[in-house]
Amino acid sequence: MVTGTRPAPVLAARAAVVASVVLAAFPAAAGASPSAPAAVTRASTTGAPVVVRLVPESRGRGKAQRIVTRIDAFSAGGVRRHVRTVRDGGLVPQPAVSPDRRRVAFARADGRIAIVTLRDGALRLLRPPGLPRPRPERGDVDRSRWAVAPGAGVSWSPDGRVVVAHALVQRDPDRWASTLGEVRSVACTVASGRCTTAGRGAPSDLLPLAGGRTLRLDGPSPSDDRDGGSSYQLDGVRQQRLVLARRRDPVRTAASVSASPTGSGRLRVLRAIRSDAKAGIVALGSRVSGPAGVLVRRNATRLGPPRDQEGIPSSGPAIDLRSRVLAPWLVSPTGHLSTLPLRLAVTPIGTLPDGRWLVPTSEVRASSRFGPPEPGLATLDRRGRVRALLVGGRPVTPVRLALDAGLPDPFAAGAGFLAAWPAGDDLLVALQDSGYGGTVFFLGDSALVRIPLDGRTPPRLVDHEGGASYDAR
Amino acid sequence: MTPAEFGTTDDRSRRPEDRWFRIDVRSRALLAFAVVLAGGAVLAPAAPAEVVRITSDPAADSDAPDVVAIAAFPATADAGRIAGLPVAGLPDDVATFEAAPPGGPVAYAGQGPTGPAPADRFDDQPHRPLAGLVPLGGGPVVPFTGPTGGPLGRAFRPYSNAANDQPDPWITWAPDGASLVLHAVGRDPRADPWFAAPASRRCVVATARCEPVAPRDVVDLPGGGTVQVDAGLTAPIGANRSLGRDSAESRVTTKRFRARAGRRYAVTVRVAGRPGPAATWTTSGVLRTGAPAYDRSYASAAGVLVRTSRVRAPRSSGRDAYESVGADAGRAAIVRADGTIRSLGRFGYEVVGTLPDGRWVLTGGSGERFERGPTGLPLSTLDADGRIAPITSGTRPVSPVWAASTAGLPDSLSTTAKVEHAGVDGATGLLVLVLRFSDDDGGGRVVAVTPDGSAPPRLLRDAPGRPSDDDYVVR
Repeated sequence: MVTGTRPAPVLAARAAVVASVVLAAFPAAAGASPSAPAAVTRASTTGAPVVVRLVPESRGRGKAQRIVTRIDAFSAGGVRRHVRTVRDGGLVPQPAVSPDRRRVAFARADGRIAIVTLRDGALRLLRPPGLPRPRPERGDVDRSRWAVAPGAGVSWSPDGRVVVAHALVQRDPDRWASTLGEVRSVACTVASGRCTTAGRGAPSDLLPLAGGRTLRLDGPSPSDDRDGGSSYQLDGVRQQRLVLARRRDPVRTAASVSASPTGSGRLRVLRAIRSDAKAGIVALGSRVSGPAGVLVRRNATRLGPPRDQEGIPSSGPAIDLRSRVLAPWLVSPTGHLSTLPLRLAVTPIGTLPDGRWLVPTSEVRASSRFGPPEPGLATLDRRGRVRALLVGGRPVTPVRLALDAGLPDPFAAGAGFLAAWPAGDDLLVALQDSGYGGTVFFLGDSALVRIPLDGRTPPRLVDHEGGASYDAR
Repeated sequence: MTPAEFGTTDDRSRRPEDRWFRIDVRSRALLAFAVVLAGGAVLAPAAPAEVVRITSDPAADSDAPDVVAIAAFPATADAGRIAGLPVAGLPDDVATFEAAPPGGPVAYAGQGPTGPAPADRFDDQPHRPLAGLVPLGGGPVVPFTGPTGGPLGRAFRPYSNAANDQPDPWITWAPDGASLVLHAVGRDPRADPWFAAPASRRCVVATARCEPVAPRDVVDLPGGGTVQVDAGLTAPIGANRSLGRDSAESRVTTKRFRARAGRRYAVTVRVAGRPGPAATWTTSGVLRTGAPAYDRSYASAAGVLVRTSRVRAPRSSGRDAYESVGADAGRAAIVRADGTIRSLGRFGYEVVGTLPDGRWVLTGGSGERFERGPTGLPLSTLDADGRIAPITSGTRPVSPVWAASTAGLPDSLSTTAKVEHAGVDGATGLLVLVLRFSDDDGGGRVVAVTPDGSAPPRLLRDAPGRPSDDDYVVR
């Protein structure tokens, strides 16, 4: 849902209008000091936003127990309406509302892409070819160690004709490689129901650009947001040697543009990097679409034997992974790639109509320090400038937002930003309480809060439900 | 409606953490009225609260003592502007401070090396219990000694074996402030602390000497007499331990453990030194299903709260290479000032202070669906009849995260805030909270909360960037 795109031609024009309003009303947004607060202007979408939530629910007992996904839609007044319940949605389904606001799509736990019409609850299932076949003895992992990823994100093309499931399947990672994941994404044409393959040759991601073009990304995916390293204990010296021997295998990381909305056909390579684990594998992190284009986070990971303080390699059965955050790529809607002048160590949680990204903290730069950065919504523009987002002169932080909205204090204590969407003069923010865990299946407690940007009206709680995920358009 | 009844009006069909939140508007109005009426009772005016600040300087030379100054001031003062008086001779390894009744000194307790220990050899040094008095007027501290002027307790080697790690001593003051009891001191240092009987020493302020009270724990009862606790197991709540078989020491411990696995352990509380028949309270069990262990006691003007933990060693499969023993919250009992005993159920709260009327201030709780820390849970009070009621500011329950965030602390601190000490300023009715944060090296913060909710919580001390690691005690 965070990766969702908007109708580019309409938004481009609207963004221009919005940008001019921002520049006129808030000179600080035109490029003043980095510490200047950010302004959020009225969203360009017309009418009240459509909010959809998915909630996993348990049905049946014992061997008959299964997880179903309850789909609800919220009206402008906040009234919730049950749309339908879908089987096999998995524990963490991620919804994406279509550009025409009539449908919602999400990836099911079996790899099929569900498209549900919000008006009547009609369900359509698209099955990408090449999905891994689970082996009973290995759970859902197939013989080549590929499996359907839980909670794959889905996004729509700006014209609503194509649905992309991001990182739909993933390689069952080795312990040592958990920070260098391999994923595959698919694109499905809604009208024909045909999807690109999830098997060999599938890209790591596909992101719709303007004019029917698609950005295709290939290469590994990192999971680490920060600079840092860790050592992994292996079972023996032999296994360690095998892993270290792979250090010299070249890995290709590339960004290309396809003229096809499904990423197929001839590719125009924007940037391609061949790297190895000895020098540092370049991996492409979260990819966030918005009116300004696609933001691609990157990092480089080195793999080697652990070294002591004097730099002498250890002889024990362990290997060392050390990652470094790199400057992100920005691929414009026209397919031009540039590198932003900052090291981006957080994942944006939404976009604004003027093209800026919403990031969950103003401390976006890489750091190896222990502990989370100070949270507080901020904006990142296409020049790499970060500004704190102030509402009523105060930063918007998860704890304050949860307390002001009347969420329970335990929720506030564990709250973090999940996603954000502009909604008229307001901002819709999804919060999640990750809590302290302690259970095997801990579904995060979720809430949706509406923040009036006038700074005078307190935030209003729209919804609060355990395990819910939201999308708004 | 009393505060206790107020605490039971919630809709229990919802999750425990948002029961208070789900109360409808009508109930809230009634609630507000009731709390306004009860507010004076919740935070009853009495003597002004005093905050004692013990300032450390972590940037100091590692060979020099960390603790450098002490200051006592009214809870309503701006503590950041009050200079502390220099203190000399306080050891680095103080684990706890406990203030005497107003006007008296502050007692400290901990455990540290028996002699000067270079930083790189610290763990190799024999340790022994440390305790003493810090005069509020500054100057040298007065260390406690044994009955003949010798060391306070027997030396032990920490970290050589997890089973031999001794718990930090803790302190309860006698109501008159003339003496105190030093708990968890005087046990056999070679024994596994979990399988040791409780031990304590009574220290007289005037002589600075401590007499053993072993083999039981003793706490002074405000109405006269003492509460004596006998137990076969002693374990703090939340502690856990794995008894590995890899080392020789652990094998011995495991062997001991197995020999004791089927034994029934008991915690017995007796009231002594009072006329009439002595009241007793006993709880017992076996390790496989849960045996009670003595945790600690908390004295107040209303009596003594005795808390136990439940030690369990689930039967391991034959393939497991170790026996694991864990402890969680067990039952509790209140010995009232008149010598009678009120038994409570499982008690999952932490006690962080007492109110002038004798109620205990609690944080955390065991009513959670999922295990959570106390940061988001409301503070509450426990009275001598065992009734638990939430503490409110106006109609708003007071939780650490709310107090910290509303007082202006950043989210990174608010989300890890825990109440370390709590007290009430009798002059203003302010609830004074000493907050600690897990990710902060800057020491505690003191926040004052109004009982009627007329003003948001206020930070009494705000010294960002100050190179200190302060401890606070509220009395």
